[in-house]
Amino acid sequence: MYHEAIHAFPSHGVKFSQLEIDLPAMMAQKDKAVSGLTRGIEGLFKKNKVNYVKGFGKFVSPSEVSVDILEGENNVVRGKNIIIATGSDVKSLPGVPIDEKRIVSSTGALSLSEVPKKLVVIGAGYIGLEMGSVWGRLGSEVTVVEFAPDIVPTLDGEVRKQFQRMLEKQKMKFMLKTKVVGVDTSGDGVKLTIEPAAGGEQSTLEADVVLVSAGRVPFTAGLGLETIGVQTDKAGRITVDHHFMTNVKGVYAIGDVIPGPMLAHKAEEDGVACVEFIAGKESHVDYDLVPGVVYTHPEVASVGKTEEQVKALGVAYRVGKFPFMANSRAKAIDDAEGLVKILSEKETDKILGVHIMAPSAGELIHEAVLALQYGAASEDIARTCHAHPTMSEAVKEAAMATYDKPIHI
Amino acid sequence: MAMVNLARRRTGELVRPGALWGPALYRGLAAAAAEENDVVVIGGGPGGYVAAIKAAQMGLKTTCIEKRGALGGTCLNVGCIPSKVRQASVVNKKFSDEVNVVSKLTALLHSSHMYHEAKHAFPSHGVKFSQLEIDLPAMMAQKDKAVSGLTRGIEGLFKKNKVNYVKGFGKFVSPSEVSVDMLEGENTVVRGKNIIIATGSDVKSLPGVTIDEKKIVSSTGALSLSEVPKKLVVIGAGYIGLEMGSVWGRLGSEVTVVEFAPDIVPTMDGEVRKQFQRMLEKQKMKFMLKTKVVGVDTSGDGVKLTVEPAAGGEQSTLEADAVLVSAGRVPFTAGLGLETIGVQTDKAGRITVDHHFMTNVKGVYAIGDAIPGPMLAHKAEEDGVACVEFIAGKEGHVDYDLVPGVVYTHPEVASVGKTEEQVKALGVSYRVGKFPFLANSRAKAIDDAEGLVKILAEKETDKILGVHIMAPNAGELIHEAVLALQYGASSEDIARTCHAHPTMSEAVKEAAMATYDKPIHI
Repeated sequence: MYHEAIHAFPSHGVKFSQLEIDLPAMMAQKDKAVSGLTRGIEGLFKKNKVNYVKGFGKFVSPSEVSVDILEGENNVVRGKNIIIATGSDVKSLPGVPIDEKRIVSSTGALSLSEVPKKLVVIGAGYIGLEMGSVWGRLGSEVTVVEFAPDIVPTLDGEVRKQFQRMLEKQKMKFMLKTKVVGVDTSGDGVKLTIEPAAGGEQSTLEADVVLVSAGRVPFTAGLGLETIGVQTDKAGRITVDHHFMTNVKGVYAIGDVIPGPMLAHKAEEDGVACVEFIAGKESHVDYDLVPGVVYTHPEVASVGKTEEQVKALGVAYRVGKFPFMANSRAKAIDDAEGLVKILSEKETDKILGVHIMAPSAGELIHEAVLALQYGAASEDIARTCHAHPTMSEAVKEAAMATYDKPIHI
Repeated sequence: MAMVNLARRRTGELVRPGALWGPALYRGLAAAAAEENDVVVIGGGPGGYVAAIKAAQMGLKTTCIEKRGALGGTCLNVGCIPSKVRQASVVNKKFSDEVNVVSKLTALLHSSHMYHEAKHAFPSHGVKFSQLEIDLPAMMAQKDKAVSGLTRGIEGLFKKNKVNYVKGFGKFVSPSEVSVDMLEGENTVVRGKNIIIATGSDVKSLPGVTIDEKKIVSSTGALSLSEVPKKLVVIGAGYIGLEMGSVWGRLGSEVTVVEFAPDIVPTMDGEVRKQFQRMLEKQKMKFMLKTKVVGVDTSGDGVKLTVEPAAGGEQSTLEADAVLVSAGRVPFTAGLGLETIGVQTDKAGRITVDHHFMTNVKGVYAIGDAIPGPMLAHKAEEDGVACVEFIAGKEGHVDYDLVPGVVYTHPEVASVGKTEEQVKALGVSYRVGKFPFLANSRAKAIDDAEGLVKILAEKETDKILGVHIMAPNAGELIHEAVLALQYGASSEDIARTCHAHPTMSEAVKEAAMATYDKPIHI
């Protein structure tokens, strides 16, 4: 909102003076929204008669969990089936201790008391970029340090390029193939020592605040997995079969703690499917059909395969693209950066992947997710009526460009 | 020499050197106008220009005739499209107002929404300022800039696709000939084996209410007012009137909507309509339903309207600074020469066509607002593509039941398929699943959580019959539902599709869960 007010509103005829950020108010709104949502879940538990025990649980047997209750006592909860859904935690970097004041994880990054003048983000995954863009819009000078040669490595290469260019236009700076080897918090701000990923000459980077967002690791410490013999893999994730069952009968695991994309909606799908199996029904989760969204502005959303993955498959394919510069809605609101890119099998026209960079990419992607669910051809989307004027028309035009020709470019 | 003398005797006029090549030279000079086109399209709105481009892409020689020298549509100057050899002729009779109005409206809806957000939402989100004001000329300039970019884009697309573009007013002289009064002053005859009428629609005028585009405006004038009207009266509570009304309402006008029928937007699902109206009333829009306007008095500074109950009764006066007439649209076929060639129209003035979009006159087709079906730009585009595919000897297909409808207020309202009333009328037993945006994480987080998703499915098969959404982005969210309906989806299909968190689209999933089973988040 603030960024729009500064950059877009005047040209749209909305004028004002003395625009300022009231960070406490912004944070208060954020806190209010969050507490509303968390209370909402407690309400859902009551409604559905879910017994809610507040405490730290630990396995004592495959059917018993010993809980150190928040109020101080201990309780043993018994279950025929136990689902581990303990999630993940921030991956810490050697030499970079998180204090949630000047060196923060995403948790601390959302509660800073003032807009940092210089923010360094370690890790160019979607979390770091989203956080970086928040503070960048509020006036921070943001530098993103990334060990790998690319930001968000799971993105389609062509889309990633445009995405990075877009972030750079928003004044985000990138130092790729760079690693952080140490931090010095003795002064007011933070001095980071960095060097090329492959090793080499060191240099210093100054910041007021450093965000550590270099990945997340499954959180299973203190859970008692060893007690009952639950196996984990080298990355610390719990190994499960197609029914989400661990190697221990009656013990299941879902979400960030098992393999697969570390995303909330993936965890929700796991949860529903796992319970349906426990209830003796059939269920299904297809990780290839889990969409990914980066909530910058514009957003980037994808489902299915990237062009690199399609190439690796060795299958002949077609590509259809459509830029939002040619979309009426985007042009009319003067927010037209981005594109839709569709990949389909050359022979059958079956859609293999869809990638969107656009203001509402996170919403637009769901037509594509449903299409992939149905094994759709790009022609199917092209022959579906899309309302005018909407951003979604770009999805239709990209589909037309994939199997035939677009009209509007 | 002898041949030249022969030619001179025959024609009685001086023949230039190279007369042996006369016919070829003549063809080159007169361009494509004298040649026969495969397709001629009359009308450059969304139906017409899309049909023209599609025809050209399919290798048909096409000419487009446009009445006012400006096309409606999307902006485009980049991209390479393989061009085919032959051209197509489109005779465009009517200025493609519809798309330009839509683009202007979209721009103003957005700008006015920005102002409204700045005033009402920003402070609670920690964005503070003082002396917020509207710079209407700047807002209008942005709108004009957006539109002119878009119209130039269509001309660019025509050039790329080699659509021959003739600027003038066309009129049938035979089923394969259109006489065009060119904008520059001359006349030319455009010939085509197939002629598509895409002349669109015009504002329905009301008896006793003369549009002057100053105080009494149509949607065209409503988008170009020079100042924010203190009091705006909107005649007609269809989606156009409500969208326009909400633009000016946000910028500070006191808006009253007068509607003859008992309901606003009669095609909307009744339950959604109720919430929609309540939402508009919260935005200070006033409604006078079952009311008709019987006269206007523009003698003073503003406008005095005389209104009375629809069924008749006591009259009263309503004052306004500007009045928007948005009581419907009628097909525009005046001066087209339909009587000359015997094209039939129905009682509402719409051209009757068969499943191939052909009129009762062989080789003459019609699409878009000029024929039955929803009067929507995207419906016209679908018509255009299908019609051309039929002309090219292929199969085309448009299902009007799968054309989504969107009202671009804030929040928006979007629908596809049947309303609950229509489902009841079918006599089939059904289920309903609803999910309010108050329970959607994204909506709550951005504090823009008014609205719901409502899904109707056949009780026995769970096959989705209709989807209705009121939400900030309903116009985008609806397309998952359109595709679902296209596939004959069950609500369980949508419920079992992974939806990203946090997005508005999760509400569609939850509503689907509520339809076939139970929602999780409410």
